Amino acid sequence: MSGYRLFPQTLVDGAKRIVEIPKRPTRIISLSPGITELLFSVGAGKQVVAVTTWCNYPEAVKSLPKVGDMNVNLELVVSLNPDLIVADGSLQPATAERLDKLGLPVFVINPKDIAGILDSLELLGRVTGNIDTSQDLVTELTQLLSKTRRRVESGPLAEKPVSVLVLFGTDQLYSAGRGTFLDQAITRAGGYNIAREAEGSWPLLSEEFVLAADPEVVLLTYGSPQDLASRPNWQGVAAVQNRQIHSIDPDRFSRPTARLIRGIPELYELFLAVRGQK
Amino acid sequence: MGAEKKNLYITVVLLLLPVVIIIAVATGPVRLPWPQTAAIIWTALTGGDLSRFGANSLIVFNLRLPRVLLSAAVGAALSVSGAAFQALFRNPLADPYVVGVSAGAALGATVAIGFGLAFAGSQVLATSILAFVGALGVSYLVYRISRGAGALSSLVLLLAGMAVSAFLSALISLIMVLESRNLSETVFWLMGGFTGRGWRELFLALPLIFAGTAGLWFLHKELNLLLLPEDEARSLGLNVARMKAVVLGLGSLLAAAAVAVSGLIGFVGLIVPHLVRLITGPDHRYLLVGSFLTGAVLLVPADLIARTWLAPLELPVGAITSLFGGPFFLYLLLKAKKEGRGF
Repeated sequence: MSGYRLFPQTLVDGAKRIVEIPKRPTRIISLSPGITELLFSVGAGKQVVAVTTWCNYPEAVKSLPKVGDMNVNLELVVSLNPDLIVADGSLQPATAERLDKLGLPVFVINPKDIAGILDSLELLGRVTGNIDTSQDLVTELTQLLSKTRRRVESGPLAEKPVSVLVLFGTDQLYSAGRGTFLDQAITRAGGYNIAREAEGSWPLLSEEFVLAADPEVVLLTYGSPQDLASRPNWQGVAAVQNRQIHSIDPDRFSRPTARLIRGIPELYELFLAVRGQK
Repeated sequence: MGAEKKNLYITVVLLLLPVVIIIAVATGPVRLPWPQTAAIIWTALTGGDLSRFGANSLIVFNLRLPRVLLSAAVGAALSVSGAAFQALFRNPLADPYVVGVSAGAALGATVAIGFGLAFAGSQVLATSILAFVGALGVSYLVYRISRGAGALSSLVLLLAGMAVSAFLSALISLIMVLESRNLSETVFWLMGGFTGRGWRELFLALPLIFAGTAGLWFLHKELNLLLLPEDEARSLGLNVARMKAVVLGLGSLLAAAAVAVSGLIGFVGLIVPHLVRLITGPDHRYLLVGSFLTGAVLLVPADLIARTWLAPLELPVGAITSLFGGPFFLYLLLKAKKEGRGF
């Protein structure tokens, strides 16, 4: 490990704050499920001592102590004596302020898009002293992305992307709007997310809009495809008629992680199959 | 105020109601030509073959039409209920939610959404039923508590309603925090709206709304007497305590039916009776009919705004009614003050 030459180091984090990292951190607390996944994928898993109650991936985090959910329990944080706290953009300013006052180093990782995930992996590799692992991973994922891009651009979906509806549940039509990671993954996989036309990140869609848009495929996070297919008025929707309602793991596709990027070629294969049926 | 002007007002809103309904059914996030909308409704009502219209027939007949009619029915129910409660409490601040109907409905809905309950495979239906049960249950509870304090006093009713509501709000907050995965759905329900509501909800609510309105309409003379001091009303032969219980029951039934299918829509039940009273005066013969029609005429366009303003995003209609209702109410208030009239 190139660790001892790396530290101490001064880095600019995702919230544009300057953070001093005196030595390789060995007691890291992650404050978001996405950050936890990123830390483990750059090989810093053994340095993580606590996570949030929502962190469920990889399997190893389930046995780690939890320090809260979106509300962080500061007493627990302090009692674990961390040398680095990694948070994402959802870190509440009030919490950040208190952590600062307690002299606990906070590093913010805030990827906004899929390219940002690669930057975050690289940055986390530096901060945690795992540069080799993180660079290998970034190289692999970059190649995966450009390979998928070439396939989409030269494939049958280039002219007319597959129209996709993301749904969080089968009763109310909550979807993933423009700019969300799901939306970006769908676009990169040769799909067109119909909820892009609505305002907001997690819009409640108008049912008549969905029926008129007639999506070819539905990606469903919660609830059963049968429930959605048996919904009154939906019998004529292309995705229902062609049995193209697919359950996806919401955690995998809403967190900015390596497995999200690995899911993009899988979505592309799915979209190809949807078209193949026609 | 002459009977002519009152009758004129009733006639105007009566004619306005079909106009706003037609405009609302013809307008939506998906643009459809008016003749086609009319043809779809005609074909559906005459039992013709809808298949040549494709998905558009679903949009007009299964989504828009029932939703527009439901918003009219809910607007009417909340307004009549508000008028009845304002008479019962002789208090201009009373609204359909004053005896805890809102808190009861909210608790029922929060339980259904928070714990993901379903009835006949539908969470929406389970939410409606639990909200209705919660609303009526809590208003009955408040009534029993107040009766327990001796003769039914309006003040005790009001305070008991507030206390029970505060207690239930605490429970709601707890459920929302503990089941935070469904937080946005619960919050959206609490803001009120007609998203995803259809014929089922209309058929559930309409009989209750007609029954409650008809019941209060038969009592319009007695409601007028309730506005008098109690001993005076009693000397005119009114059984005040029984009358209060009946008005409370009918008003709560209306509010519960509305809340069960639309969530908590604010302001309509408070301002519509005031608005109508400014024109027709306090006589319930006109006030109830006027409130019924005016509530319908106002809530239909409010829901139209909710579903078209930022389409295809759906907004909660409760936010629209309060957004436009608040300033409008202040305008009425200041105007009445200036002209030396009371509310």
